[in-house]
Amino acid sequence: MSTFTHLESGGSCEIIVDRRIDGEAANLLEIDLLAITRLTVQTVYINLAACTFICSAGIRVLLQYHRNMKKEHKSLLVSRVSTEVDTILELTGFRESLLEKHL
Amino acid sequence: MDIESPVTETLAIDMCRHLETFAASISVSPQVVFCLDHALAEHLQNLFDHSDATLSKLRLQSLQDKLIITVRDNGTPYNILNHPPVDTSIPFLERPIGGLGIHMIRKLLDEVCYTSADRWNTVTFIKNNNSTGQEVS
Repeated sequence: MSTFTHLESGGSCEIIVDRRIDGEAANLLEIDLLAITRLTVQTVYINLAACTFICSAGIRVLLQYHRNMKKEHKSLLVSRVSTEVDTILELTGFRESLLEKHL
Repeated sequence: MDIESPVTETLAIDMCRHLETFAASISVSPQVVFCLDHALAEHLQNLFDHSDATLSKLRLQSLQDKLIITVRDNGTPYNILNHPPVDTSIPFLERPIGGLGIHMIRKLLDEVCYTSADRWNTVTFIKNNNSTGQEVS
């Protein structure tokens, strides 16, 4: 897995994640998110269009930060998904909550 | 294909690579590989995180229209089929986050079996080569 973080004007940020979020990669994603949420970012978008695998630990990271940011009146959303990740979000029941609404 | 490996942090990733190599050598749909890949990764990660197992043995077989993965380990016995199912009807913000890995295994595979004997746990994952997945009860 590799990530590319793009800070945008207006308080939003996009993190692009590719390949697989499994094992240690889930920990690395959490480290990235922890660093980002310490900045004055209002909305974090996770772009998973090039990510073909997400394990339960990866989903847990997304859920945890989604919930934490919501408590602070901020948001974390998945902005783009591959077919594979979409399948996993659907079967775990988190698709509607995590995906950006216009998708 | 038979592979024996110590249970380490990279076990899941290493074994999933073997699965991909095996699948590439036979005629298996990408959807079937996708399901088995996720299920195997979740199970092996659970072994590393929770079971105290030191050794694992993986067998990959293609029989008729089924792909069969057998994982044996010498860790603490735990029947994953006894794990409480995840209730996806609970509102998102109230839902416990745990148990997602086993939930995914049940949803992605056609059959899951568990046995424990002589200090070895054996989990068998079966995926029909023409299926897209159904919940294992």
